[in-house]
Amino acid sequence: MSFRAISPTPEAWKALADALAELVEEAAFEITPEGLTLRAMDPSRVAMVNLSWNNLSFEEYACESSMTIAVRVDDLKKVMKRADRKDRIEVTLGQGNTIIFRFKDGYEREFSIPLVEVGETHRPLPKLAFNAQAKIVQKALRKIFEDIDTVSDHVTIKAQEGLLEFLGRSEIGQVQARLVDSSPDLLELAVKEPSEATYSLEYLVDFVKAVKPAEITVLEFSSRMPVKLTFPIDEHGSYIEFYLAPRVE
Amino acid sequence: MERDEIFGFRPNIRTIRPPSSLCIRCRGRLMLCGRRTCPLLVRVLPLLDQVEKLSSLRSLEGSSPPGLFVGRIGYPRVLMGPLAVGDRGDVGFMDSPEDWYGLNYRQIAELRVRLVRGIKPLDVKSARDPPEYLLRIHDMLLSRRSSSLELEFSRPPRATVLLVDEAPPFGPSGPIESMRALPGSSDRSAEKVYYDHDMRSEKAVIYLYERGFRISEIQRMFGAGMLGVKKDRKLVPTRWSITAIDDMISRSLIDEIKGYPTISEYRVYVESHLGNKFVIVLAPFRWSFEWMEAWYPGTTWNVSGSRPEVIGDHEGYGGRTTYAEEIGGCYYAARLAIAEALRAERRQAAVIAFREIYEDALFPVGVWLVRESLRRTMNVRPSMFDDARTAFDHAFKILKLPRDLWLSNSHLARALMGQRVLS
Repeated sequence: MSFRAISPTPEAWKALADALAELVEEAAFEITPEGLTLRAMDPSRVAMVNLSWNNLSFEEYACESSMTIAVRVDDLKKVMKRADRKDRIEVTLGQGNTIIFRFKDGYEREFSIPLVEVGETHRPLPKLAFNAQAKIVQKALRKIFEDIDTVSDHVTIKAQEGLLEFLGRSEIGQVQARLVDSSPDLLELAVKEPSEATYSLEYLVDFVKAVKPAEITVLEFSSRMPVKLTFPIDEHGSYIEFYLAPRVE
Repeated sequence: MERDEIFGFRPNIRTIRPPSSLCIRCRGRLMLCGRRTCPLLVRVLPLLDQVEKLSSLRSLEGSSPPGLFVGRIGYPRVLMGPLAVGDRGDVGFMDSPEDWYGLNYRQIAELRVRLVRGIKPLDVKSARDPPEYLLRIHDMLLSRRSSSLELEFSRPPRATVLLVDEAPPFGPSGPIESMRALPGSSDRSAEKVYYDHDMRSEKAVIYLYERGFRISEIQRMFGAGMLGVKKDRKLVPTRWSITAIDDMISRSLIDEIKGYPTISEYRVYVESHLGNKFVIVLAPFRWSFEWMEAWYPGTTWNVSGSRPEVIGDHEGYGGRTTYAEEIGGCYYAARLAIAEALRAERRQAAVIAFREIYEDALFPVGVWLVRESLRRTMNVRPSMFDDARTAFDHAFKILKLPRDLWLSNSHLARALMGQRVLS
């Protein structure tokens, strides 16, 4: 079993650890010569993460044979908290069922955390057809969700030709955010048919905040159906996807 | 003295509870709350006879359950001391709410007012380097058995009945002139955390809990400043220590259950006890918790109201960062009982709990009532349902307050009913 992957910065690892921490206790990576993948569903079956991190995204990547390994997300998060922005990260497998993270920027640090038994893998992705698709500047989306979070624990997303709206309402008040075709934060909007659906902000706010290194987000949904958010990690086609089931009144 | 104790209100909170410490201090003499009759005094009046008898004592020879009282007034210099009764032998049950399930209001009060509170002023920080008086109390609390105890009072105990939300009723209090105690043999686990001056108090609390110590035992040791890093040890007023222990233990349990799968159906647990009705709905989602209470007119904290008052607090998966202001100590006691049951089952769930308090709930007896009622409820087989709608329909059939009133006050119920899952 040999595996080695080097990233020039810790950003993607940090984002992944933060995003997973909101959803699951353990995470199983599938490691193949082509790259790393991971699928994790929260225990409520309300949200799911799908990671596709291909070997081109790494400065160096070596994997002789495919394998699946699992770690405790808490462990991963603790290690990633110690990484500085400029650290290069080298990931290898260590002796006695461990995974090793080496941070290099000036002096070298090595964190080794235990692997845990692999639970369920190969979870199928939800099969969904989307009626609305928008490409949004990720920072704007993050702010919109946080705006709405001030009054409500859920957000209603409405899409029609040329207009994407986010609404939150509760006894405290109401918040509305609009992205129109000409908004610099809305890069693309394609609406097959007008759509409207409501989602829990408890999941959305944390997740979107975690993946802040992504510059854009592709948001896809249909009325009363799950939403899918795609966060490209880099220009090599690697991405983190997030699925969230709707709330229906 | 805190602002709410003087003015009878807490900002931003629907005031349906006159701050209980105000009532206690006033005891119906001054009518500080503005009512014409004191709600508490009317109910406790018959007990005062019994208490009067104790108030002629200059000394008391008997036992301590062991029990402890740490007051709040004057913080950080507080009145504290052992609870004592003029009986010999095992009187442990007198300060063990875990044994009181099944007693009625009168029995609880009668049991409690027989205990005299010996008090002496101490700085809360004296727990770092305990004076002789405190050391002897520590010795009594290191034992899980009753201690022989002799108290001399500098003046006869004052005939009071102290009723607060969090703690069991307390009887008369007398300033201690001298104290002689013969503690039972010390417990080894209790000694381990007591003499470990580097173990953080939270760790010590969990250590004792996992070794089968009762909540009341842990709370007493914590309140007496026997746990934690030596230089941080403090006496903790009884009302606060009860909630602190419920909070610490339940947080640790919740951390654990978050690693378990969710339950696979909707469940409704029902319990009626001492004028209270509890209906607990568990839903197959990750941990979240909401506790709501409806105080009917004529109950302790809604004496003169004309309609039920509904209050509630809740937390999401990430937990709370602030105190559960509306509900107070009950929130944490309830959360402990429910988290305990989920941990035993190695499952997590979203919890929505309803409590109705009717007029026959005579006076506050402490949050143990909620903790012990729920511990029992959660051990009984619940009604099971496939979907949220039928589960909540069932719950609202049992509850007296109309569905819409509950739902308009709930943060989590509507969200849960509408939440779909990924297929």
